[in-house]
Amino acid sequence: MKSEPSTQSELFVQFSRRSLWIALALLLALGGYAIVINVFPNSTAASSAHRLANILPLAITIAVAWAYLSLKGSATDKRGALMTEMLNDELRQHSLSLAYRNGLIAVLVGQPALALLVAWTALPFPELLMASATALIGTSVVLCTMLICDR
Amino acid sequence: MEERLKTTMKVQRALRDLTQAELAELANVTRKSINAIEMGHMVPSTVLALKLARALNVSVETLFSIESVAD
Repeated sequence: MKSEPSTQSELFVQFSRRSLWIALALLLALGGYAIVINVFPNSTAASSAHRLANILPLAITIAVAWAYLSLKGSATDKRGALMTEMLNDELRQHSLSLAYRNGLIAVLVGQPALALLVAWTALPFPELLMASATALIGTSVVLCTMLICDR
Repeated sequence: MEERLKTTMKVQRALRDLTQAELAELANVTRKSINAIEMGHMVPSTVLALKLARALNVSVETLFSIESVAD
């Protein structure tokens, strides 16, 4: 009787980790795509990135289905409560605070480096590169910290 | 002198023949939180410390104490 809810709770923890991994992978793919088309707009790398971007919706669908597979066997009527319990978990809250702090530091530290990169290289859309790289750095650090700490 | 949280949670849990998952269920947290506290990676909040003490039927002072470590 005791082990069943624990397993249920573990299912949601597994689901959460899978979701974080998926978010990180998609973010890196999208961020990489944005950077490639900004830095090398007319290169073969950009055309390859455009072709790869076409399969992103399919990849997202498969990834989301894979994440939901980890919830197989969980009681559907308890999903809301178990999800809330998992999100309110103290370790998760602690990891989230640390992740936000690290993300903010990474974004702040990344600005001078990006500014120098933009100043020294002739890019067609420097502001777009700054914006996409900043978003990529910040969110990647947040997700990586979560994956490392929330284990 | 650095002060650290010391816990007897693993011992108390073993005395009651409880797994981390079972204690987690009793205290309404995830098993990962229990593991993080036992390993000293996380300092629990007052509320969680009280919940854990109640789940193990001991006082908070029995479960947690502060130890001084030389720098």
